[in-house]
Amino acid sequence: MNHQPFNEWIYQDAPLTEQDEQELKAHLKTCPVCQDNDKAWQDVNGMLKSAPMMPAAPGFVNRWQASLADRRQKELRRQVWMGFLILSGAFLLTLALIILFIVLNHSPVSLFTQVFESLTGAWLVFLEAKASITHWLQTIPPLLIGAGLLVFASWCTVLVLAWNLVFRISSRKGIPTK
Amino acid sequence: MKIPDSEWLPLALQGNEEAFTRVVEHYQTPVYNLCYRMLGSPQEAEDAAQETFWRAYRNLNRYDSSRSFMTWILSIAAHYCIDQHRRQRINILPLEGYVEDTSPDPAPNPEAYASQSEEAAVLRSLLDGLNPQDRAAIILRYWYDLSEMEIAQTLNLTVSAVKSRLHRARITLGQRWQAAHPSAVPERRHDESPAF
Repeated sequence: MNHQPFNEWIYQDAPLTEQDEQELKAHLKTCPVCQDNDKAWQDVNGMLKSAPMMPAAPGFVNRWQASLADRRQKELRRQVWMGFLILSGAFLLTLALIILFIVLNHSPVSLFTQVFESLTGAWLVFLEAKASITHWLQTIPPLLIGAGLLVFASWCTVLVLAWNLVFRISSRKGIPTK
Repeated sequence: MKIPDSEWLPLALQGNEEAFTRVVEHYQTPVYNLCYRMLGSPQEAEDAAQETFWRAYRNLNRYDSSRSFMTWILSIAAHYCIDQHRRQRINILPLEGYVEDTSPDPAPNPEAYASQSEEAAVLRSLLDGLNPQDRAAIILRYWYDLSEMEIAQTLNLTVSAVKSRLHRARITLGQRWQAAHPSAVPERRHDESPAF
């Protein structure tokens, strides 16, 4: 038996025309397969239409408020890390581009020669500077050198601690955007 | 009740946190219901609803106030739940097992009580047989009374795609119902051809 278009009509959402409805009724009287389908869909349709809205468990809004603070903190922390990663990436990319530029614009031999000359020149400059500094240090009292080194080391320590503190605070609280 | 749309919503859009909390209060049931009907588990629905509000909160500046806020937030929830389905491949309960699956839910949730009812379990089991987008279309049609056009906007589909999804989903639901209730309809005649 041909079940079309009756089977389409059974599941159709829009209302049927009067004529189609009469045809469907007549078909259902003679077709047990479509009868079964119609009965099943009527049951399901009734159940869907009468199903209530499922409410959330009590305290949903309180849980939202609690999770909002937590999510914000995580979001800000993520922003700090993203900023750090973007800056690091930009630095590495720039470095890679500079290296690429140098490699592409110089032959390996000339590059090696230049590097070798630069290193040799730097070594000579270092030796000269060392000799000058040694000569200069001999004229300064040893106590003053020790005091200078102590001040320099103290400043380095303070700077490293301050940087560490700022980074910890930023990663915990984030950087305010507003 | 128009309070959130007319009063709280504009304040929430300006970044007022308290106003957004009122919005959450107002929309919690429709959002939770969509998540629950999509995912079938109270705990997952709670997480999904919370995530939906968080996403809405973060993207309030993208909300087009000419659109209904309800449709917008349901759209966020539906897409999140569809993604969850794709990611987690939620365990689908066998249809035959739904009657036995009436053990009390350990979650402190009033719906645990409701889930014990046979009808709730039958519905959940029927919906489990649909693919996520068909399921979302059926839920939006029957629980929220959205038109095909509104469903299309909510799910980013064309109206014809929504129509065909709804039709296909209805056929699937009917088939699953018949499979679960062989006694409710007379036994299929062996000489009859199926209508599908």
